Amino acid sequence: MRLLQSTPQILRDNVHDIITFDPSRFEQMLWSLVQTAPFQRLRRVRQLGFSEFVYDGATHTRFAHSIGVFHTARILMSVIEVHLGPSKFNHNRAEAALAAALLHDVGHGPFSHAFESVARRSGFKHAKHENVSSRIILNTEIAEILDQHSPGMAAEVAEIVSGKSPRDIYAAVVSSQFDADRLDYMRRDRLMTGVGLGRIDFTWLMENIGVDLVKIDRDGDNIVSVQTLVLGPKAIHAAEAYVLGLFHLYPTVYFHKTTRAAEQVFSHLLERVFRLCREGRVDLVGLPRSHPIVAFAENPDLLENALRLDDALILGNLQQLRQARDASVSRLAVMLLERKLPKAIDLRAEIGLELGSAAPPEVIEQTVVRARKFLNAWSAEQNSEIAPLWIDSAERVPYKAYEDGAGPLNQILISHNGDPVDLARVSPVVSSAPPFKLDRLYAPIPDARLTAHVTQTVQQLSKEARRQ
Amino acid sequence: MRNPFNDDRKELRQLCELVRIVSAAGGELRGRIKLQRTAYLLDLGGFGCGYEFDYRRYGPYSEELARDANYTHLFYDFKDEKNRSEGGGIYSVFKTGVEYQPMMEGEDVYKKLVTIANGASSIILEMTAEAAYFAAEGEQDPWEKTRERNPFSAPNGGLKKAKELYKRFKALPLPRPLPDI
Repeated sequence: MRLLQSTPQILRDNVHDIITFDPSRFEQMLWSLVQTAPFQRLRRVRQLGFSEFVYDGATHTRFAHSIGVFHTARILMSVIEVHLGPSKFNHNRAEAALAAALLHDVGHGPFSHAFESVARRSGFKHAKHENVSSRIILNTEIAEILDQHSPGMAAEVAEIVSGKSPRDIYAAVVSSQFDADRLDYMRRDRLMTGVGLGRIDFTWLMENIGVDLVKIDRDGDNIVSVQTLVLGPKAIHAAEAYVLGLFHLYPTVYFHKTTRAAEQVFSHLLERVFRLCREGRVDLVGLPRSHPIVAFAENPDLLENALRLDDALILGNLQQLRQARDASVSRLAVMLLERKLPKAIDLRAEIGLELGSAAPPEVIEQTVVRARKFLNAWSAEQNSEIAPLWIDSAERVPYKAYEDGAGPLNQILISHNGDPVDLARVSPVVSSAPPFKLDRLYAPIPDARLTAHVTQTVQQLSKEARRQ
Repeated sequence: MRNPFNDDRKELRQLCELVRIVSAAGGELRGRIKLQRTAYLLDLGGFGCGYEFDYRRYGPYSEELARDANYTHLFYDFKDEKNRSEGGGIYSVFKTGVEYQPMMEGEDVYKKLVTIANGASSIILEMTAEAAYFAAEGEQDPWEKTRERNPFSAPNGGLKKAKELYKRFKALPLPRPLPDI
C-alpha cells in the first residue's frame, strides 16, 4: 500500500467550492495541522451556536469556517505578494499568518462566545478564545508541527492569533475589519442561515484590492508608517455593501432575540454546574465525577480539560443534566432540550413607548442606561441560585471608525485621489450607519411580581427623565 | 446637570468615576487608550469601580467602560471631543468642568496616579499598563512579553521609558500595591 503524501489534498466547500492544500512543504504542513485532535474538535463546535434554534440549517462548524478562512487568507496573501514583489514580500511572515488564519478559532469553547461569558463570570483565568487558541498553538501537537516546519513558528502564530490589533499587513489578513475571517463568515453564515441579506461582492473586492503605506499613531502620537491593504476607488460601493452586510446580519442573525435567549440559558446552566462542582457538590449536577464538564470545572486552567469540551458533549449530556438533583440545573437543561426559552422584553422599546415618540433620543438613551444598570444591580442583589432577571445588553457598530487606538491596519481603506483614506471618510453611508443596540431582559422563571417590578422601574425612570 | 459626586443614583456610580478620572487629570485627558489604561491602573491599585478588564488592543481594556464613556455626557458635564491625527485617525479628548473631589482622606494617591498617567505619552502608558496586566495575570516575564507585543513602540527606548513610568506608579502608596515586575 502506498501512503498518499505530498499530493494535493482537496476539499469541497459549500462557499468556496474546491479548496486545495497543494503539495508544497508548507501546505502539507498545514494539512497535518488539520489532522490534529485540537483542530478536528472544531467539527464539533458550531459556527453559530444556537442560531440553529432560529435558522434550521445553520449547523455549520468552526472546522469548515477555519478552512474557509485559510483559503480566503491565501487569496489576500497572493495580492500582497504581487504588490510587494519578491524582494519585499516576507515569506516567513506570510506563512505564519496563513497558519494563524487556519488556527485562529482552535480555542473556541462549546457554543463559542456564550462559553466565554460563562468563563468570565465564573472567574476562569482563560476566558477569551483567542487566549485559549494561543495556548493550544503553543502547548499541543500543533506546536511541534509548526516548529518542525520552522523553528519559533508556533510562538509567531500564537502572537498573531492572540493580538487583537494587527501589527503588520500579514497579521491584518487574519484580524482586521477587512480580514479573511469576516470575508468567510459573512458569506458562510448567510448561505447556511438562508437569509437574503448581507451579500458581499467578493470577487469585485478581490479584483480591486492593493497595497499602500499608512501612518500608525496612538491617541494622536505618531509612531511609524506601514504597508496595508487598500481598496481601489472602484470598490467603494462593494466596500459599503460589505459594511452594510454586517449592519444587517447583526440584528437578523447574530443578535436574534431567540438565539440570545438560548445563549443566556446555556450560560446560566453551565455557570450553575461549574459552581456546584467547584463547591464539591458534584452529586447534585447529574454527571459522574470523571465527566469532562466536571473535570473542567475543577481545573479550568488545564488545557487538556478545555480540549475535551465541545457542543456535542454539552448537547449529548442535556438528558443527564435534566435528571440533576439540583432543580436549577434540571430546569435550565429542559429549557434547552425542549426549546422552552424565556421570552425577551425589549427594554429599549418599552422605554420608548413609555416616553412617547416625541421624546428626544438622548432622553431615551439616558433612561435605557439607567434602567439597564439599575435592573442589573437589582438582579445581582437578589442572591438567588439563578438570577431572576437576565440583562442582555450589547452594542455593535457595523464599521469602527479609525479611533480608539486600533490603528489603520484595522481599517478598511479606500484609495481616494491617490491616498489611502478611511472608508468612513469617503462614504456617507458608512459614516452615518448607526450602531445596533440591544437592551433586553429575560425572566427565566416567569413571575408576575418580577414583571411588575420591571414595569414599575421603567415607569419611574421615565417619569424622572420627563421631569428633567 | 447634577454634580456626579453628590448624585445619589447608585446605578450611575461607574459613570461618576469616569468624571473623577478626568477631573483628577485637571479637567482634560487625551485619548481613549489613556482613559482605559488609567482606569485599569487605578483598579489594579485598589481604586476599582467595578469594571472588568481583559486583554484587548495592546493591553487591558473594558468593554463596559468604553460604552459608559459614550454615555457619561448624558448625565454629567463630560465632553468627548474628537480630533484628527496626522495619520487620519480620530482620537478623543475628554473634558469636564466638574471640580475634582478626592476619593479618600489623607495623601491623594489617586490624583497622583492620574496626574502621572496623564503626563505620559499614550504609547508609553499603554506599554506600562500592558506589562502590569501581564504581571497581574502571572506572566513570568511581563516586560519581555510587552516587548514582543510592541514591535513599533518598544524599540528606541520605548520599553525603557515604560519601565521608568511603572517605577513611578509603583512608588505610590496605593491601597493595593502594584505587582512587582
